[in-house]
Amino acid sequence: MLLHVDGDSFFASIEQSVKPYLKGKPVVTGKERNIVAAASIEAKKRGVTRGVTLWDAKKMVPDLVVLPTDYETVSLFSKRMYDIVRRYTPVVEEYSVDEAFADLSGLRRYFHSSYKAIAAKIQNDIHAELGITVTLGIAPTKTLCKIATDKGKPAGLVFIHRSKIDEALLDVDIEDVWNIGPATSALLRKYGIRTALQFKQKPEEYIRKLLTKPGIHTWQELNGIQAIEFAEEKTSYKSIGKSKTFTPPSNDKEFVFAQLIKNIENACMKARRYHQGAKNITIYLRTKEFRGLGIEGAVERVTAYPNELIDAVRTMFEHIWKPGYYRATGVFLSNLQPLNPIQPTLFENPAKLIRYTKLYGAIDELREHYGKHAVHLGTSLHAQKIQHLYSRGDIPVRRETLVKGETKRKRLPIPMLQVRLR
Amino acid sequence: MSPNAGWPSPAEEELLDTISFDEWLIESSTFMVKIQNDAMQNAGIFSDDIVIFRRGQKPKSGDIVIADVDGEWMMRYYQIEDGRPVLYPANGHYEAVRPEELIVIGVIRSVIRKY
Repeated sequence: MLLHVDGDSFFASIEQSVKPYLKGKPVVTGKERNIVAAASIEAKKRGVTRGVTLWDAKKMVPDLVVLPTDYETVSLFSKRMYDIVRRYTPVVEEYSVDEAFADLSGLRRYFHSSYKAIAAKIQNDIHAELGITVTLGIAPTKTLCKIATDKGKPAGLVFIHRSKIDEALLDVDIEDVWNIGPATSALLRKYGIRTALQFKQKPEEYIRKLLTKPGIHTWQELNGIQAIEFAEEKTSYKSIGKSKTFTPPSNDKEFVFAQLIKNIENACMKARRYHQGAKNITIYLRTKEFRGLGIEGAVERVTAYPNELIDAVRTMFEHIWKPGYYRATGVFLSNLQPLNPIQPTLFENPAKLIRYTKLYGAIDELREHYGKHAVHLGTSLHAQKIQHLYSRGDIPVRRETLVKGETKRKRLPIPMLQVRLR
Repeated sequence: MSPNAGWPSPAEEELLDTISFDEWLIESSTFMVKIQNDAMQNAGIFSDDIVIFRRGQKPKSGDIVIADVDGEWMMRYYQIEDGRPVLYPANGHYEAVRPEELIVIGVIRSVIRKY
């Protein structure tokens, strides 16, 4: 039996947890981007949803509390949430910053309690120790777990027993099923499949003719057959993605390119930390209208050095660039392989490769001492500057309430309660 | 193995049974908070001290706790008297609180003062 743990309004709830005076108030995060990144339960009740502009949100809720995203504190909470789940089972997949999957199979005897009781303990521990609520879904497969969690939002605990799958799927629209995208759901609707139950009850042969592998996996999962693998420890990544939104949107080609290169520097940095390099790279741009443009390319050999990628990326960028306003750029490094030792290609000068290895070894060390972008490519200079152009109130409070010995760059890895005790 | 790998340092092994300051201070549910008053000064906790507390821990009588009394958050001694909780300050200028409703947020585990 599998468990899905999903933080309720995660980013906003964390703000309420460390700033108790915000309890019960409508709170959103995303100030630095001018859109709602996360809304507290109170804000959601009054119609604020993720992705709306702050301007619209404030019109809906005049007393809205708007905060910048505090990624550092969110990450601390995220790690603790996974750790609490790990007290109960070693098989935990850190699916996203606010979600985890866990395998509860075989634990009933060990804990002398039912799946539901084990899940309730996890839910209680998280609430007591982190001051946030999570919704839990228990079911035979990941896809069914996700449906259970959707039903339990917020703060609920829903168990879909193998014998009760049909009942659970009856009122679930096909487009609300995990991994069913808009294109697939539109296709299925053409064939009269509107609910998850209708989809589940079609014979496998029928689905095989209609959909490709991921669709078939979803069908199997809805039928209680585990088809989506469990990705446990993230000690090495299958792909590394980095993207960043900038405000206001820009039509300056070199600025947008600089943003892209900065993402590549960040992604490479992360890859090097896990001693991985990429053979494939995907870049994408997002327009002001949220339209995405992307392109994938391959490099000759595994690399995690931006200098080696920059020429290829420029060509790819020229290929997809169209005049207009852009709000975000992103990059995916995929086909990751161990970075050391790299096998130089036939016509390559191995000395150059050794130089890069040494150079980035030094850059990573400088980063340890002086912060993330102590040394960067000239191309991303444009994007480096903007980071310091925070407007007032765009910096999370935690960064401005340092304790003695902490610096602007480095803080203690413990959440800080932001309250004036009486 | 890198070319300059040699014998392991003999000191290394003897240090296996030590813990780091992190392990000593940080537990799974510890939070920190900056103190900005003198309500607990006779307990040795002063303004500007950093208090590390364990969120969600059940208090025992005599513990120093962080508590939510009607939306007011305070740090006090926790005592059970006649079956009811009382919050005592460690400073004569403050008064004891006998709350109708009380939520204990956590129990103090350590106090840090960096000079």
